[in-house]
Order: sequence, then C-alpha cells, then structure tokens
Amino acid sequence: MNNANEEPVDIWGRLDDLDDAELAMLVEAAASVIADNTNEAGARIYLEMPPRPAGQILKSTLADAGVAVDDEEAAELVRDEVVTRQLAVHVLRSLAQQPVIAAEIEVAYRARQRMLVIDAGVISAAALLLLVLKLKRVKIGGVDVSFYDARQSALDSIRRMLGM
Amino acid sequence: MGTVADLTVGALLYRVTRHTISALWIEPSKRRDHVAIGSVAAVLPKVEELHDELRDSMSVARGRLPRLREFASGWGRDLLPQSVLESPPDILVIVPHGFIHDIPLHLVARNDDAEPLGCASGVTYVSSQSLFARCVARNRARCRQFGELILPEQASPLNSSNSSLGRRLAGGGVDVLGGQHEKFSQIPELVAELIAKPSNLLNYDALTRSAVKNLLRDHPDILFLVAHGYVNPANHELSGLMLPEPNIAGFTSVQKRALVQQGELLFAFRDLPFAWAPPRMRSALHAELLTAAELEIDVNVETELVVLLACSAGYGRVVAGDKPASIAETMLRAGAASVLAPAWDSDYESARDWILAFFRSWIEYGYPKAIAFKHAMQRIRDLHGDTQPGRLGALTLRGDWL
Repeated sequence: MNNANEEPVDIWGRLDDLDDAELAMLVEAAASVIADNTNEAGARIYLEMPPRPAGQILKSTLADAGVAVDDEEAAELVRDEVVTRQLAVHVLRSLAQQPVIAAEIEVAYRARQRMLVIDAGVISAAALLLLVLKLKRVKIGGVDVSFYDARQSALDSIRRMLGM
Repeated sequence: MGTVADLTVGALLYRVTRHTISALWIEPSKRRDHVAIGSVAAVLPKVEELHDELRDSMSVARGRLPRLREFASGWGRDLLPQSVLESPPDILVIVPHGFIHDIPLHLVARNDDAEPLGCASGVTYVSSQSLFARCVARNRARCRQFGELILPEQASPLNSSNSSLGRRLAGGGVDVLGGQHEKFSQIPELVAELIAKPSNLLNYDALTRSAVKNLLRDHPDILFLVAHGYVNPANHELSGLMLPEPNIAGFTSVQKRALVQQGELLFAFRDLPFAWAPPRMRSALHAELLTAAELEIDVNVETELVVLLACSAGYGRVVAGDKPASIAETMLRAGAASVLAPAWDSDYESARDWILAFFRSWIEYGYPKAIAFKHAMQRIRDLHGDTQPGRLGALTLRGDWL
C-alpha cells in the first residue's frame, strides 16, 4: 500500500537492497508481464504452481539446458530463501538490461504497490525462472524482447550457486 | 426524493441445482417471479475463470481484467432477470447460492451506456434469507428516525452532533507484515473526521486481538479494521485477521480474564489466541490471529456496520451449509448488521475515495447504507469512468441495507 504522492525510487538501481516484500512484488510483476506478453499457451500456469511440482519442472528444464540437478538441489532452488533471493536478483538484473521490458515491469510494480493489500513477501523466483528458461522471447508493444541473455545469466548463477 | 419508507426494495434469491440455475425475483410490489437463468455447465467454467482472474492481485493492479469486462457487459447480464436490468428497484437484496456467491452482479451493465447495476440500485448481498432476517432484526438503524431523503448534490450535510445519526467509530489499522501502519491507519482516521462523536481508534501496536474484542464488547456503531487477513485452507474457522501480539516492554504478554457466572467469579483464564500467525510468514511484528472461531464464540458483534479492509476478508470458498468462508461472513454471523469488505484487492486511492464517498452519503447525508453504496459507486464511476471495473466494484455491502 503506497501513497501516490511518494517520490518513486529507482527500483533497478537498488535490486540488492530491496527488502523481501519489495523483491517478491517485483518478481511477481516481472512474471506477470512475461506471462501476459507471450503467445505460449499455458505460460500463466507457472505463476500459480506450488513449490514441489515447480521444482520437478525446473529440474527437467535445467537438464534440457545442460544443467543437471538432483531433486534436493531443485527443491533448494525453489524453497531456500537465500537461494531464491539471489536467483531473483540475477534474473531481474538481466531483464533490466532491456529497456522495453524493464519499463513494463516497473509500471506493473508501481501499480501493485498502490494496492490496498500486500502479500506476505514470499519470493517466488521459480515462476520467473521457469518463464525465462521456457520462453525464448516476448513481444511488448510490437517490440521483440529476447530472453537469451537472461537465460544465460540465470543458468550461470545456478551453476555458481550449486558449485558446478 | 421522499423518505426511507418510499424506497422500493426488491430481492433476488438464487437457486443452483446440479444442472440448472434459477432465481426467485421478488418485486417491490411483492409479486414473485420464478426465472430460469441458465445451465450450470455453461456458467460454472466462466465463473471459475472470473474468480481466478480476480484473485490474481497483479492482474487487478494492472487493470488487465478481460474476464471481468466480458462478465459485466456480456454473460453477467444473463444471470439477472430482464426486469431487474430494465427497472431496478432503489434497493436490491441479492441472496446468492452455490457458486453464485462472490459474483459481482453489481457490476453488470444495465444498458448500452454500460451503467453498472450498482450505480442504479443500492445492492446488498447476503448469503441466506435467515441471515438477512437476523441482520434486519438486530440492526439498531431500524430504531432510528430517518428524515426526508434528498440528493447529495442538493443537500447540505446533516449536523451529526445534533442528529440521531452521530455514530461511534472504533477500530484502527495495523500492517503486521510490511510495517506500513501509518497508511493502514489513514482511512479510518479520515472517516473519523467525518463523525462528530469522539472515535476510539487504536494505535497500531495497541490493536491486539484482545483489544479488538474489547472494542466489540463496547458495542460501537461502526467497527473499522484495516489489517491483513489469513485464510486457513484446511479449516475456515481458524482463518482470521492478523493482529500484533500484546507486548509489554519487549515481552509478549497474555491477558487474564475473569469468568463470572451469576455475579460470582468462577476463575480467571488466560485469553490465548485460537491460532497464531502461520509459520514461514515473514512479518514486521509478532502476530496472532483473531480467528472466525474466536469471533463466533467470544464476542457478540453488536455493530451497525463493520468495515474490513483486509486481504481475503470478503471472499472465500463455499463450505457446508452454503456458507461462504470469509471473515465478512463471520462478522455477519457473529452479529453485525452490515459489513463492507472488498471482494477482491483494490488500489489504495480508489478504496479511500470509495469509502469516503460511502461515509459522506451514510453519515453526513443520512442515507441508508445501500443507497450510500450506490452513491460511492457513482462517485468512483465519475472519477474513473467504465475503464476500471476492478476499482469500481471491489467493495461490496453485505447484510442489511438500512
């Protein structure tokens, strides 16, 4: 819940400093923008997926991308608070490099901030990660936005986190 | 415009069977008309899609609500008898059934001008006829004297302090999750400024479970709470409002209460919550739940109006006995005559504008609550047009209309 009169702060410049509620909201905004701007049927299903099935799908998606993780590691990527936070920041930072999608995500984030009710601040990075890994691109306002860099960045950060 | 007695009141009672949906339309003249609405197979999938969309706070925030628009201008019109759309009564009491609960019928466009039903008729929802009868029976507004009703644009506000319409407000706001207590407290404080009588709005750290129950024992006319709600998916009775734990000098304290019977103290017991805040939920304050079960057992909500601005306050799955599992429903069953609660999330400015328009009409001009509801919807429509149905229809009135 935010007042419209408040000075908007640069959200992309302080990704590392966002508190969990802010980061969760930004992840939610990014996932919603991506899911709304793809022709891929069923993309929205990742937004509401519980952790266990999300972990299973993430495991097979990562295997397709050449990153082999076991069940425990996949569960950690989905549930561990420190890991999901790091993952979310990495993916968001690479999305922020593309002005069209960054602007759209920021608009969604500001709109969500103005809502009367805020959520519990659980960062659901798995949904965003799955969308970035599964979808090659989205089209926003007639502009093609490729996820190639975001995908590579996410995979690199997963490899680093898991010591690969 | 006339008096309250001149208002026309109609009721629409839905009936959902395994295959069909029908409605009993009781006209203001008391004439009854059975109307076949449609088949469950055709309507249910659309209702489920609509509910999914409205539960997605990000879609609501971004105003991306294609299913709500389709409902309002398209298939939602099929859920209402034609005569209701053509000549709605001043007050419309809607008693949904089965999956019709929580459908925003007040947003259905009446005509080609896209005027929502709620801008033409004061709509109130109630989950059953018997609950409506109980809300009416205990509504202290029905003992008040109502004067001549005139249009707000032509009227000067009633002097509440000199009239019987001055009401006692209690409540407050607390954000146990995000710590934005000031903003949560702002709307009740703005409402307090409209009310001539002194208000009993508690500071965020004092708005504990015991304190809210104490406020209710004082029988305020209006209880206004802005807080987070929590829905227990396994047991609705343990769903509730998230409020701060009582805290004295950094230590959690437990209130002791005397159990008195026939003037004699039987014993003192510790007033512990029925449930604490769910685990793994990060919060700015240590929180406990004021649950539906505790409200039903421990307090008698003798208020004219409860305003609940809380997540999950106004909607919930329908449980046994065709009972919607929401905190708003619990408040009605615990004794409130009427409840205002959001059926889905709303942005802060729209909710504030809506609430202030409602209270100006109800408190300052002395209109019945359902007419104040209509005025509030008209106000938001004037501000935003028909482009934002999510803002226009989020808040709903339940229980008695007066």
